[in-house]
Parts: sequence; C-alpha cells; structure tokens
Amino acid sequence: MDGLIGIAIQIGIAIVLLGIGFGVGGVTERRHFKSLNSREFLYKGFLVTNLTKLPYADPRSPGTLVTGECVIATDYFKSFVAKLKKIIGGELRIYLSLMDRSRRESIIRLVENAQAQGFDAVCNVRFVSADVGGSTSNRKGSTMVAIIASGTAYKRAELIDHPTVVS
Amino acid sequence: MIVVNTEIVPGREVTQILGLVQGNTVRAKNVGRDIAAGFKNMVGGELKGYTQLLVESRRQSVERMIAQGNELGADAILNVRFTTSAVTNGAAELYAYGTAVKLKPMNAESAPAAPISSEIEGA
Repeated sequence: MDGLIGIAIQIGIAIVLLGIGFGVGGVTERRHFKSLNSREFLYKGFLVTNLTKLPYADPRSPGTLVTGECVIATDYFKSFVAKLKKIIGGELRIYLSLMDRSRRESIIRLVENAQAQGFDAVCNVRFVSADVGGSTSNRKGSTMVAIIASGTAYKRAELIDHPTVVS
Repeated sequence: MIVVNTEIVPGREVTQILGLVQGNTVRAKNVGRDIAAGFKNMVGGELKGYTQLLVESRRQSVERMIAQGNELGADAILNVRFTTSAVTNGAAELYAYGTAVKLKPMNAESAPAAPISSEIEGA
C-alpha cells in the first residue's frame, strides 16, 4: 500500500512538472520568438553574410572579430516528449525551436556587438555549438543549446552602388 | 592587433606569414549556478549564467591567442576559428586559433593595375 502511494506521489510530481514545463516553457518560447522577430526587424539593411571576401568593404577600415553567444535550456515538457520519441527514433522536432532560438539570438547579439563598434556589415559568419551542460559526457547532464556565432565586422564603402540588401 | 575571421583584411596585404597561434581555456561555473541551471531546465529559457560562462571563455581564449600573436610580432591574426569540447558537467573548453601575419598597407594604384597587365600578356 505504501509503495502504491509512493508511486502515486511520484507520478503526481511528474505531472505537475510537465504542466509547469508546458505552460511556462511555452510562454517563454513564444515571448522569445516575438522579441527575436521585433529585434531582427531593427537590423534590416545590416549586411550579414557568410562570404569570406568582405563584400563592399571600405579599404580604409580593417575589420574586427565580433561574436555573439547564447545558451538556451530545454524545459521539462520538451525533455519528456524527446525521451518518448527516443524510444521509436526519428526527428526530434520538439528541439528544433530550441536550436533556432539560440542561433537567432546569437546572431542578433553578434550584430549588436558590431553596431556598438560602429560597423555596418558582418561577413564570414560561423556557428559553433558548445556543450556547457555536459549533456553528452554525462547521462544526467541537462539538455541545453549553447551557440557561439563569430564573424568579421567591417565598414561598407559609401561610394559603391549597393544592390538592395534583403535580410 | 587586427583580429578577423576572413583571409584578407580590406586595404592591407600580407607580407609575411608567422604561423598558427592559439588560445584555449576550460572554465567552470560555481555549484550555485549549476543548481540554478537545473531548475531552469524545468521551465526553459535562456541560461544567463552559462551564456556569461561562454562569453568569458571566448574572451579569455581570444586574449591568449592575441598574446601569442604579439610574441611573434604579428600585425594581425587572420581566419580565426573557434571549437569547443565538453570536459565535464558545467565546464566548457573553448579553443581559438588563427594565422598570425604581418601586413602592409595596400597600394591603391598598383592593385587594379595588376590584372590589366596580365590581360595584355595573354593577348
């Protein structure tokens, strides 16, 4: 009987955590996407490429390295769904939004860093993912997405006719 | 010191290649932050403590790389790349590497002249 009550309590806690994860996690994610959309709109016209040859660079100003970092954690609901999905395998679509948020946030921070130093373009953008949570080296590690975006910020030459930049 | 992750620097040209320079760091956040991250893993959202960890690691490894470049007497470090690896829970190794070079200002008039003369040779 005691065993049954124990199991019931454990299931109860799990359901509460799932609810919190689904509710709070969902709200956080929607809010983050909204903020990403509005901040990305502000940077329309800022040239971000992963070309290596610095398109339209002003030869008078050498560029500099800029970076943007972001770590996004999963929530209990997402981990639970992912665990279920791992039984049958296939695409873990539930984690896609996590990667997307982390990459877009780090790009925005990269652009902010470049703008703060007075540059108006970034080229050769690269992404590296770090495993700060240690989720691969330790089974008990927590799931999170850590992204470092790096690129070269530079000034565009004013005299050249720019093709319309759509970003 | 010019640090870029492209192979060229606008308006400058490479006169001498000094070799690969690198910097790395392994950093851990304190236990309190790890516990906080554990809680955050229930509700989701950004882990500010870990983002800060990443920023500090990146800064440290780039500084060490630049220090190596300065030792070689470099003007710039080109083609900088980052890689990471997991060491243990809550610790990240960040490795920055690039090529240290010496630069000189590019002569604005000689640069466009070169392809024209080669065209004449070809004809």
